[in-house]
Amino acid sequence: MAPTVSLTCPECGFELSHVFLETPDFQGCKVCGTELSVRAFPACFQAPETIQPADLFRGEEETSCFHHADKKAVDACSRCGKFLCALCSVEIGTELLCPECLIAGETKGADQSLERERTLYDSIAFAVAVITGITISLSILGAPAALYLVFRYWKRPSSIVRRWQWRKYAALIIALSEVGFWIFIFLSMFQQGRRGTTL
Amino acid sequence: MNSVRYKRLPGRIMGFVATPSAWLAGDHILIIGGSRFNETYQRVYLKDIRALILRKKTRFIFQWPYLFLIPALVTLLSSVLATRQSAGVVAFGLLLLVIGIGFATAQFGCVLYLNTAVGNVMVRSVASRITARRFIAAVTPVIESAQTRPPETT
Repeated sequence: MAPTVSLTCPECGFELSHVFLETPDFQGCKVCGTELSVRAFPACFQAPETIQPADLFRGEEETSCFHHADKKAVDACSRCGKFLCALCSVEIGTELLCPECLIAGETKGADQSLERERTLYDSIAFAVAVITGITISLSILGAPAALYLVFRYWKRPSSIVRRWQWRKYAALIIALSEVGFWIFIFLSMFQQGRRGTTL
Repeated sequence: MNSVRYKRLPGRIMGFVATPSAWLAGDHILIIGGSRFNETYQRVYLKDIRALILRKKTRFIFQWPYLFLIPALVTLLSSVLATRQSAGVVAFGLLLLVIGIGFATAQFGCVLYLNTAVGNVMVRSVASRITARRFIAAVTPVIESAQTRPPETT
């Protein structure tokens, strides 16, 4: 079966011939010679979606799209309930969203499936505690910094795929140990100083 | 906040700064990029994947465990096997071996792309053809089942 959509070479962007779809072996691109192996899926053989006359709004018994008055509504937004045409409805997981709810969810970070970036404060705190701990002398600054990061961002979620946030707890233990170490050093110095003055 | 369960896909690069990885959810593949301290997420939905394109490319990625592996091997073998005179020879031999393995892995290097209607999305966590084959074997049945499943009716 010939594909209805064109696959392009990732190197030169030139359209790949149907020969690539017939075998999973490596073959050279006709233009740039890059050796490629292609594994095609059913989506490659499906006809592209086009607007059918049936998609147009005919009035009276039908509802039009909130954004396009001339188009028939096919769905409603799962969040705000606006009627949407096929173009305006965006499928995110099990939900259908309108562009406004999609943008709102993305900017507020309310929806995990829309998140594009995360700062890993637990990893930063762990790195600060460990790296400054290795140098020992720098831990006088590093330990409070790590403690600040741990408590300031305690509720902030870590990586989207990690369930167990051991770095947060490890950073806390290491930083507290370093603080304890410095308190011990200062107390020892203070006691030695007092002993020196009494003698 | 909704929570999605992810399963790690074959391929992992433990770089000094970047640690890319790929994860499989029920309806999409999550490609994690960025750095150790800031992750970026790219989702490719299973029903949108038209093809997996594997490209032969010489690639050698230095990963941080190598830093410990090479000196550990040299120290261990030279202390166990060699006398004081031949320790240097053993170390040199090991170095050559490591370089040889490096070249061999580079020869089996590749770049994997997920092809969608929008373009080719590179899977950075896959660097060798062996890993790529495992990746393809893991995702192929899931993609096929997602694309052949009849649309849900409400």
